[in-house]
Amino acid sequence: MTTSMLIQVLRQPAIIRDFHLHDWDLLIRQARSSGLLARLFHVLEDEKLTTHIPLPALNHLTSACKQAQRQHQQVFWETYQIQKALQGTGVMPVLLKGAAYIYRNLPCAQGRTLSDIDILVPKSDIKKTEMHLLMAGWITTKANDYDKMYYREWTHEIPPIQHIKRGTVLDVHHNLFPVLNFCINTDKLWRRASFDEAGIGTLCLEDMLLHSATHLFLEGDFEHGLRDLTDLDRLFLMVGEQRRWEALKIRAFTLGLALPLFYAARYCHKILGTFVPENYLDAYECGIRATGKLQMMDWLFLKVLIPFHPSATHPLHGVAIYILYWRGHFNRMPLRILLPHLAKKALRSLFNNKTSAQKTLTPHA
Amino acid sequence: MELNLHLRTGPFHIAIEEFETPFVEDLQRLYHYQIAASQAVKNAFIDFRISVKASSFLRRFYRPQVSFFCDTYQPFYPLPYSQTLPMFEWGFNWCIATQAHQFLQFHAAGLARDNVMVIMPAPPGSGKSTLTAALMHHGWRLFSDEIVMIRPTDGHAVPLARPINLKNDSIDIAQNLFTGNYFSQRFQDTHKGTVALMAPSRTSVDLVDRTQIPTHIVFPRYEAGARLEVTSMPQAEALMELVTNSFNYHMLGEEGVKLAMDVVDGCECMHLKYSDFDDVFCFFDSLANAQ
Repeated sequence: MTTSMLIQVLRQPAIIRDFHLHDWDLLIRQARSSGLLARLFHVLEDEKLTTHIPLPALNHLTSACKQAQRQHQQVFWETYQIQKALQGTGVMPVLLKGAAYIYRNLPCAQGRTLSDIDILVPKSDIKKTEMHLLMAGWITTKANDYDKMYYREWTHEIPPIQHIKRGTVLDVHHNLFPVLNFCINTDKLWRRASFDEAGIGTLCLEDMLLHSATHLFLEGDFEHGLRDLTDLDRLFLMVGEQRRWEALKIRAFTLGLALPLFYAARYCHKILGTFVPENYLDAYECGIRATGKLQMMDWLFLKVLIPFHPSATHPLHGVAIYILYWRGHFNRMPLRILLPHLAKKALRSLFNNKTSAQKTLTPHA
Repeated sequence: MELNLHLRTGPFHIAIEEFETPFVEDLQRLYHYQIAASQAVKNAFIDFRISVKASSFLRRFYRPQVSFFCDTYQPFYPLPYSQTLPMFEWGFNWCIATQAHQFLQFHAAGLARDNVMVIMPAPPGSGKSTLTAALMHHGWRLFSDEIVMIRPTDGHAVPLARPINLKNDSIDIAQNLFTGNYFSQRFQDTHKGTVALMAPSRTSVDLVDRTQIPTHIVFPRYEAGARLEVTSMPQAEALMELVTNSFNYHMLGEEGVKLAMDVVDGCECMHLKYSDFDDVFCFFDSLANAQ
C-alpha cells in the first residue's frame, strides 16, 4: 500500500522538516480535499513544527483555521438559538458529531469543520421539535414530496432544515442509524447523555465514538472518511487516557455496535497508527464470521479511507467506492424497500439531471 | 484542452490547467504581462489550480456548457460555453474570497498614484468599473476593480492588477475612450448582462508588488449631466459601508474589526458625484498632488 503524503504527515508530523515547496503544494491540496487543512495546522502546532511551514503554505493553513474558528463560533450561536427555540417545550436536544465535539471542546474539535449541525431528539418529540424550529426560522430544504416522504418513512432523521436568514443547516435525528435493518435502542443513549444548564446534551464518550464509527463504517459515504477517521483517532486517545477501553467494549456489545467498533479500531490503527490494546477485539465475536470477509473489508476500506484527491487514489478507488456505496444501502434498507426507492430515484434523475448543490454552513462564503 | 498556463497576480500564484481553446487568446491578452515562464514555476507553490472546461462530450453538441474547477472542487453550476472567460474571472474571485483569509477583503475598486491610495466601494450600477478603467488609463495604478485586500500585519493594501470587469453600456464608453489591445471580446447574456474584460495597464502590473497604505475612501456615483460634487462623509458611516461590502469580515472576527477601523481611521472619506471624466481626473490628481 502506498501511503498518501497527508496520511504520512498525520502519522509522523516531523517529516515536514524536510519538505520542499512542491511537497507542501501537494500536502495542502490533499488536506483541502479531505477537509483537514485546519486540523493539519493544529497537528503541526501540537508538535511545535509551525516554524517549519513556508509562508505560501502557512497562508492556506491559517485561512482554513480562521474558517474553522468562525464555524465553531457559529456552532455555539446556533446551539443557543436552538435552545431558545425549544425553551419551555421540554425537549432536550443532544448534539451529535462535529457540533458535539466543538460544544464540549474535545480534542477532536481542533480544526474540525462541518457542513451542518446534527441534533438528536426522542422520536416522540420530533413533531414538536420541528414545529418550534420552524417558528424560529428553520425551514425544510427538500422541495419534492417524494424526498420528504423518503426521509420520514425510511430514515433516522427528518429532511434537513435550513435557517431562512443565517443559512445554517440543521439535521434533526431521532436515531443514530436508519431505522429499518438495524435499530439502536435510543433509551440507552439518553440514559448516559449529559446535559448542561442550558439543557443541551452530548452523548457519553463511548457512545460518541460508537456513533462516529457506525456512521463511517456502516453507511456508504466516504468523502469525509479520512476526516472522520482522524476524529476517531482522537476519541480513542481520550478512551486510552481515561482508561475506558473495557467500558467501551462492553458498551459496544450492549448497543449491538461491536462490528463498527472493530472496524474503527482496526483502521485507525492500520492507517493512522492509533494505539489500541493488543487483542482488544476478536473479529469473530464482533460479527466477522465468513472466511475472507476481513481480507475483503481491508481491501475496500484501505482504498477509500484516503484523501479524495487524484494524487492519492488507487486505480480501483472508484470500484471500492461503488461497492461500499451499495453496501451502505443494503445496511440501511431491506431489498423490498430499497429496489422501488432506487427505481423512483433513477426515473426522477432522468428528468432532473443537475449536479447536487453544495450545502455549506455559510452559503455566502 | 490542457493548457498549464501559470500566472502571478499580486501575491497569488495560479495555474490554469485546462481551458477552452477559443478563449485562450483572450486570456493571454488580459494577463499578458503576468504569465510566468514555465521554468520559473517548476517546483513552486501554486495557490489555486483552475480549470474551466466543457462539461461533457455529449454536451458539446447540445447547449454546450463549461464547468469551473478549483483543483478538484466544483463550486458552481456550469455556465453556457460562451461564458468561459467571465466564469474564469468569477471563479478566481471566488478562490480569493473563500480561501485567502490572510487578507481582509473588501468588495471595492482600488487605485493609487504616488503616495495616495483610494478605495472605492460602490454598489453595482454606480459606474465604479468605468471610473476605474478611466483612472487607470489616466495614469493611476490599478490595484483591483473588485477586491481590495488589506494585509493585517501593516494595514497595507495589496495590489492584484487583475482585468477590469466592464458591463453593458460601460463597455462602449471605455472602448470609445481608449484605443489599443486592452479588451476581450464581449460575452452576451451573462447574469450581469453583456460583459467585457479590460487588461490592467503595464505600470499596474510592473508595480504589483508595491503595497500601499490606503489614504482615501471614495464612494462614487455617476449622474448624467451632474456637476462634480464632493461631500465629506463621517468615518463611522464609511466604516459601516465598508464592512457590509467585505467578503470575509465575519471570518476574521476581532482581527477584522480592528483592521477595518484602522483602515478607516487613516482615510479621508467622501461621496463623489460626477458625470464628466475630465473633472474627475482633476479631482483625483488634486488628491495625489496634495500629499
